[in-house]
Amino acid sequence: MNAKEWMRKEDMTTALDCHLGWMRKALGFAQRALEAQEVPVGCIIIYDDKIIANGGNEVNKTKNATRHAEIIAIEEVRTYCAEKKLSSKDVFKSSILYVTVEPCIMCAGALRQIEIPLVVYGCRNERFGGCGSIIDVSCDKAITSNIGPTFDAISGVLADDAVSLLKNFYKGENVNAPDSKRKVKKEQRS
Amino acid sequence: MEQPTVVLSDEYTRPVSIVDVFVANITNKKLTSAIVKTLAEIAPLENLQHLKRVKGSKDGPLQIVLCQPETDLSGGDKCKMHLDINKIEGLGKEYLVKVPAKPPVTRKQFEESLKYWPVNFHEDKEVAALMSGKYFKDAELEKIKLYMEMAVRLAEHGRVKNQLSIGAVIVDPSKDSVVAKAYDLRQSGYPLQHAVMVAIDLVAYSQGGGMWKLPEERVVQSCDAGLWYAKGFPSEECSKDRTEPYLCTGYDLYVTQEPCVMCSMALVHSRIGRVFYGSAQPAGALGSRYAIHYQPGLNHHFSVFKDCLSKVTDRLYTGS
Ligand SMILES: [Zn+2]
Ligand SMILES: [Zn+2]
Repeated sequence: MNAKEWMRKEDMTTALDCHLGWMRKALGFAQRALEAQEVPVGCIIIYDDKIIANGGNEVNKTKNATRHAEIIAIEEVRTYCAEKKLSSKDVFKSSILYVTVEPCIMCAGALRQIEIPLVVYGCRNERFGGCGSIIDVSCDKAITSNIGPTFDAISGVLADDAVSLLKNFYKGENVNAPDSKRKVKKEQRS
Repeated sequence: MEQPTVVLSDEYTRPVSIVDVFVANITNKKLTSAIVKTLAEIAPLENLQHLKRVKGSKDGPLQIVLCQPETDLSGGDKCKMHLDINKIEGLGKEYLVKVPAKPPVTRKQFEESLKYWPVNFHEDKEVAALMSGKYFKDAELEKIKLYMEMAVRLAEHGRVKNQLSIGAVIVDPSKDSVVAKAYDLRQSGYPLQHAVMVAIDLVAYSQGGGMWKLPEERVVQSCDAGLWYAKGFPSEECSKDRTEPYLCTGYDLYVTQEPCVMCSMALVHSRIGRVFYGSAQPAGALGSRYAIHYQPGLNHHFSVFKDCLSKVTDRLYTGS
């Protein structure tokens, strides 16, 4: 089933069941990121009812602050498409992305460029959120010519689980403290 | 080269907004200080602290700010005053006047504000210098020009390779040295490889990280165009107390076109120091559609300058 069919789906209970099922998988990748001492965010991309890509945060590993779970997963779709000899443009257009935390402003911009139609996420991202928490990149029509079409977003799927992973990572620290993320990263690198 | 234009948040560029307040004439000037004292107690100015309480004029009466009108939740346009001034001696009847709603942050706003009501103004020297159009000294302008020309050459190199004509250079200003050079790669089938994103990843390579498998990596100092990063950060002679580079902290980015929202947020995540760009674009996120570098709520803000060598960069985008 492709993403457009999803959105037209009349049986909302089944749709929700599916969202919950996929989000549990995404949470698994968030857990893995946590174990690798990365910010615990997990992401999967569903195409043709299968997981074709997954990602967890790899900011510390790559020393690149843009290596968020969504970016990693997008990268994997390209590899998948190369192997299967599919057009990644077509695949992205009929995929759904699940991510445990609201995509940040950067990732929301990235998701528009790959022309994904639907994004399902868990908890809000109060610090960097690009689907409404800080600004809403997902549906800003004024930038379409520059970075591609808007996408739909469903929020709040297993949000509590996503939050408790984040709390686990930041432990005693206030998740909303401006520089907590940086502090943690620095400690890990030293 | 002409002075770059600083891109400030609209706090600095917006026109003066005005609100209504109740004022009254002081009928007995001898009681002025007593009236001021009483009002300070019973009706503090709260979010209108920037207003001087009393306005004097040459021939007219002394006027004093009483309070803001009560917000009428019913939506009616009748303004009500909640303050009882009958017991205050030496005051005339209240009436409405328009005053500046916010404290002025630039001299221009200050002068505009004074047309309505006297206000306090504390000039931010740095902002004033930035807005003066004389911020950069000649030697600094020379450097900006040099790095912008480098970015333009990268953009042209990209165009030759059937890419969008966008070039980016990341510089460590403390050493006056280039850390990464990139041109746009998004036309090779990967929509996220904007020049800025590629440059950020090359900085990660320079720090022993990095992720994209990029063509044409170069570590040769003389390489004029193409992708490039300076190897050896941190250098071995770095003593322990010297902090190793952390992402793009303290680095400057030179880019031929205003970055999009994805790239701009990537620069926030990477903690870039300053950004210099050539041509603005309507969907740009450093001043045009958004001002991500000043976005309230984000934990890192940085300085942005536009119109850098824009006579040259504009040619990259107009097709002439
Ligand atoms: Zn992100
Ligand atoms: Zn971009």
